[in-house]
Amino acid sequence: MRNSGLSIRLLAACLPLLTTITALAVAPPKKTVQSPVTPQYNRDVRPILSDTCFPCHGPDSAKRKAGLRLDIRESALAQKAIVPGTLSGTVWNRITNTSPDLLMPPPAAHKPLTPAQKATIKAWLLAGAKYEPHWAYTPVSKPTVPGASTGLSPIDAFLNQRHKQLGLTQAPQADPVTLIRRVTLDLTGLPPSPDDIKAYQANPTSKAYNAYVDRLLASDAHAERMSVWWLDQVRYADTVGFHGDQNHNAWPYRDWVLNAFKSNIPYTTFVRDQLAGDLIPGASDASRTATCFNRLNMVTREGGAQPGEYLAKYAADRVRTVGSAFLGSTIACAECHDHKYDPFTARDFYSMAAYFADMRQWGVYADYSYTPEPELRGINNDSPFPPEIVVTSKALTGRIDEELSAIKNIATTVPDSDPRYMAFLAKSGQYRDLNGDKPQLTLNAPDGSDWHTPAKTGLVVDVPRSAVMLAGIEVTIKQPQTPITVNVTLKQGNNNLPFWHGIGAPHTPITQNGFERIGIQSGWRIQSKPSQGEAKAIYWLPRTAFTSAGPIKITLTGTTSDVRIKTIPVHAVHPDTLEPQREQNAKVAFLLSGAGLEGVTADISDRLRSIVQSRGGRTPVMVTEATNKPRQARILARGNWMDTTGALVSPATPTFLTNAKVNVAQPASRLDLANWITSRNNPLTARVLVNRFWRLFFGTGISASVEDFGAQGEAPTNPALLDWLASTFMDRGWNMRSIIREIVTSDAYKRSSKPLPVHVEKDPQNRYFARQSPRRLDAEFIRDNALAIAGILDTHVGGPPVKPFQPAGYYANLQFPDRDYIVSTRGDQYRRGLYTHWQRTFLHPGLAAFDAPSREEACPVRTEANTPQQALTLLNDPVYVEAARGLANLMYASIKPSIDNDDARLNWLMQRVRGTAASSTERMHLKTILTESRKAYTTNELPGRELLRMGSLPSRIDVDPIDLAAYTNVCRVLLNLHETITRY
Amino acid sequence: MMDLNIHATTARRAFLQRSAFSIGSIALGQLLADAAPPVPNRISVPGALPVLHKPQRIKRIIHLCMAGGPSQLETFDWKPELKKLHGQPFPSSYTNGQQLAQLQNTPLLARGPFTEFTRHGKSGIEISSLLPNIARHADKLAVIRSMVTEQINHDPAHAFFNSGSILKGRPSMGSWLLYGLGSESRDLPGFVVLASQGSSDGVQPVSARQWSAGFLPSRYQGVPFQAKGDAVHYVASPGGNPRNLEEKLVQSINAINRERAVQTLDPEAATRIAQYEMAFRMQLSVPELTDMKDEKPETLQRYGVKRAGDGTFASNCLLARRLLERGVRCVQVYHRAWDHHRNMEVAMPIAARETDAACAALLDDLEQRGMLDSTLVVWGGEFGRTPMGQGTGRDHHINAFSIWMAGGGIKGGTVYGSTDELGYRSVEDVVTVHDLHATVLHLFGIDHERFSVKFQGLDARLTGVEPAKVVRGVLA
Repeated sequence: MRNSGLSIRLLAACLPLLTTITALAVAPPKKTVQSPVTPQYNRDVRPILSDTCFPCHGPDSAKRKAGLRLDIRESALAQKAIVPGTLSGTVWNRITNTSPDLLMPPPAAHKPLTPAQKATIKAWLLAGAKYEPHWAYTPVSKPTVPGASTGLSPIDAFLNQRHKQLGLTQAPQADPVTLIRRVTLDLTGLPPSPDDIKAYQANPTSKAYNAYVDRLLASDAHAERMSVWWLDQVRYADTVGFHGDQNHNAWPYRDWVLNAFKSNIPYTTFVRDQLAGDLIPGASDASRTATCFNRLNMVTREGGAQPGEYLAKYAADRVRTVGSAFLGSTIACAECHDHKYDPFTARDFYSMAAYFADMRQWGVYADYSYTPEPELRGINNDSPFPPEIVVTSKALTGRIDEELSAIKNIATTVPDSDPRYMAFLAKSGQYRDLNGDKPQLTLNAPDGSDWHTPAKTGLVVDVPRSAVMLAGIEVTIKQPQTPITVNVTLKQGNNNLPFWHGIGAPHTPITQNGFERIGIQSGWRIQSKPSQGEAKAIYWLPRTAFTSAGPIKITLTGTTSDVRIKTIPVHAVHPDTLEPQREQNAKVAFLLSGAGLEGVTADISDRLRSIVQSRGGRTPVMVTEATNKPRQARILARGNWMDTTGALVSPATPTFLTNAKVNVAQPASRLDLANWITSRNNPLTARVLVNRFWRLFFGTGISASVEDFGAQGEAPTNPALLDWLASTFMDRGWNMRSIIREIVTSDAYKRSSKPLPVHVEKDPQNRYFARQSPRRLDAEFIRDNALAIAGILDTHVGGPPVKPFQPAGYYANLQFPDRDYIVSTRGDQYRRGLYTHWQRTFLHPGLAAFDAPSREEACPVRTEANTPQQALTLLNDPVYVEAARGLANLMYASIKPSIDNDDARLNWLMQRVRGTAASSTERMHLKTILTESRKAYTTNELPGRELLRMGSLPSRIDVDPIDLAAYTNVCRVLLNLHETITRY
Repeated sequence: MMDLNIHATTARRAFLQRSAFSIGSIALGQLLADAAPPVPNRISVPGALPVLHKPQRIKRIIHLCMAGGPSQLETFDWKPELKKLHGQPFPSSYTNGQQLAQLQNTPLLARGPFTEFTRHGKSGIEISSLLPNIARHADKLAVIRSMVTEQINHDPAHAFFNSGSILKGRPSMGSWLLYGLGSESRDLPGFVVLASQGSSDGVQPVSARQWSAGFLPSRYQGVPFQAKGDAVHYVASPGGNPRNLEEKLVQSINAINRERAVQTLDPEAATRIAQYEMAFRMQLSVPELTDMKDEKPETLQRYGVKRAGDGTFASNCLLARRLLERGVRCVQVYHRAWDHHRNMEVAMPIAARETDAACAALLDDLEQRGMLDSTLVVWGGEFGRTPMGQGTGRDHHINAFSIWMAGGGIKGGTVYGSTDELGYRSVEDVVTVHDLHATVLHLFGIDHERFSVKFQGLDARLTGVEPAKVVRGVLA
């Protein structure tokens, strides 16, 4: 520390904080609000019995001791374990026994009951030992809203009632800036725009707030925010996770999720399409894409893996995910034995798994000699993971349209007098004269015919010198003898002329780590005979080779079938189209031809590349494909896949959830499972979902255990509110957005997150929601927020995963195949975090540092840590250094010259970052770093210049680089603030 | 038992806040201390265990992980009977109904060991000619020849060896230790991972999952040190900003955070301040740690290091020693080229050569510095290899493999457990991975049965639900 005096002063300032934080932090985890009334079974007693008694005296029949079952009242009474109204039952005797041999729970279990727990049990026994059905397994009914005429929203009515009972004063409403920032970050993962803040500050009414909320809910950004949450639930990733962790084609599923939230489809449809979109009447490409959900489990391609073992792993993974994502249940625990706390049996587990036995799948996704899979012949470590379908992607077609329209726009700026354009017109005489009719020149065979017959060693054809620029060549194979791989090369003198792109029809894709290699320029593979007889390809030369000079030698190998070769003088066509067409606008033709590129700008070239990388708007996606021969499903004793003695099972839903029975044809299908999950009678589905929504906007669920609604989970602190939300959700047609709106427009949501003394005393954990809670942003949103503040966020929606900067060599420990990390270019460098390539075994370190899950397993709740790695990431990850520079750039562009001084600048920056101006002490701290930076860079300019060179974002050239670098450091401070990555 | 209801968010927040308070209070204490004379280099960050269950024998552990699965039959488990049976059909009485990996659907032939075995040290432990330097330390080693595991493929087998579970989201042993015992280093992560590829055939990938903190907070996860670029991700200041400028930058961040923390009463803000202080200390200490200029040439030679910091296993072993010297609780050093399905007579000697001297030099250095009796060294792979041949190599094997331990609390010169005469199955004093974990925890003073965290309603333990035992036979 530079100045210890300062530190001590700051410490003194922190002392009241320390006292309060201590009170908040060291409070016992158990809730401190205790009702003096009789203990209730669900709220007070079951948690104790479940944790300490049920493992040996509960649902698991195999582990049950002394035949005693305490989770069912009749059993407990029959065995005199409990004698209601007295302490004469054996339970009381044993839990208070002084003999270690008789004491329960046995000392070896290391689960001693506390005096408070014993007192609770005592009071409950004496009051008659009433049991209650488990709250989450009872049907959802709609509670009456208390004090219906108060004008409060139902949420507030339920909460207020509880707050009154508990004597909890409610925190005041948050100030407008805090609130607008909160709701924008919560609903979109992005900060509010300065204009939105200003508008709301000027008119902080409910009406204005609600209208703003509606705008946010309808935005793409909201769909992106919700997708981040859902992708955790379903363990979405871009790689398979096991062993070589190869890429798989799942991103169109991610886009389906985005679209589902954007169009707010009912949760019933949302669930049904993911589980069974292939089985519904009128299944579409979209609903089939949704079934990629069933394919998101980790799979292997490791040589020597046993298919049977992995199929068992995949089945268990699916059951865990369905249990976790839709039912908030830990049915996974019943894989090896009946559940210890909840009435799930091992049969339930395997019956659930049986729903997925119809899926076309393999245990090991390759054809090894030791585990042959004839259907997978030819598959290698670069292959995708079948079955896949090819679908149209809105993101890809949108990108093609955008690039073409950008090129058209640029064309309008080309002056008639542009020398390159004039040269194009002069040299493309044939283009003007012949286009549409004969734009091409056929290179005849020596015998004068159009068709050459290649020798076994290949074919060499000379292109004569011509006055017309050569843009590429067209190759047609008359009757290809498949399978073949054709290679074409071009040589001018001793120089190879590489092609920048090639398209062929038909062609069999060559894949590289799961993705189709773009274009055929490095090999044109045709596996089976084209139905139209001929196969045709166009090879485009790069702009630098665009030449009229000759002669040029074409070499073709790989086929001995007859071949016709034509030159293409210019390509006034979109480069991913096989048939040359006339482009009416000569300037667009000029740009598309590539003639305008030489020495001009990389922009057109980037756009052309982007067009061809969009694959004509089509993309493969993994889907669920049902076979008509489902695999046998049986109970695996202790989860052992080699044990074939277990009973065979058919698809069935957990037996104890009988009130949720739906009539199904036999054998039941995935569609029946989806219908059961979204049945009005299912007590779990709606409760689980609304509770998770609540958590998104309050930081904790109404039941804190959002991932476990079983006996070991926490009972809701406001059961009536939970049930009102759940039933209202279903009444409104399972409308997700309407429930989210209900939550974020409540008074409770809008309260300040600063605790009052009464909160510290009575409800430090904020389990009753008399205030808001501060929340650190999720990993993706920390990035998004910084990029948005800096004004450099690229807001394109959907599309293939992107690769932001990542430390070199981060994938060094990955093999099968070895891989490079090719950093994305242009705007893709600044996309939202959710589009980051999700490598399960090595998640991007910037995301991983902020607790983004690897998504190897369904993740209902992220852990939230606070680590030095987070500090290092915000300080030094290039994206945050770039964002700081972007923010500084923006400051120079925005500040009015009339008021331009350091104070005004620092205020502007703080305002931009958190919505309010800097305090005088904050300005002092910021000025310190500004002054110190200026001083340091004046002494030695080099570090400042290097700072400005990080990443790919340009620096402003109209400002002093020392000043820009100094302000970049100021912006780094701002982007590192705890407040910047937290919503209050 | 630790009744930390991690899975319930209420309690988790309480837990985080409590931890936050612990660290926060240290940080604020540190602020005071910074005004005073220099602070000692080591201030421990307390762990979750308020008191240890038993006497603590060791303070730190280093796991030398021979990833891919080294053959026990060519290293520590001498099987003359197998040698005699070389090339003959392997008796089906051993293999019927057993799991196989790449030997599925092929005839099974015995493959005799290709290495010589000799007795070493006073204890006379038989060790193969591939590991002459480790053999030098025979009297320090407790060799367990009767290891078994449950997973026959690399990825899940590593997961099982590291976390005791094949379920994802389970903490690795290093994370458990850090969580329970805290860290003794205030400027380095408490759990560090060093991985090198090796240059022979048989390279296997290793996933970051292997050092994951799972459901524990991520500050307990292993931090991989890179051979290329910054040793720790994002540890270098951008653009080569001078150190004192970056220090002032961090001070500005913390000063504003302090001011805002007073206004918001957000306990996480106090933790954040402490983490920025720690981060800055790491920025100073990591370069000092990885700059191995002060190591003598003869030291480099003993380890087999050609160029310090080149990311080889040898260099990583040297770096590991420096980490242990600086109070790091748990270090894992991976060599990833032990998957010898084929060409093992060429590849295995290479893998051995790349690791043997370094492992031995590490033992020497720890002993010479008086650290060996408070450090546990564990050497081994995620499984072993079949006594049946697979062409020019051996397949994966889970019924028998060998590891060794040395250091604090270990009875040197011990051979524990044995396999049948063909080395197919562990038959005497069988040791499971959970037993090994129980033993490691025991040496750290922890009763594995009482070291649990609530996760998804269950008391999750490193050693799982089935009974596990401390392997007393290897303890001094």
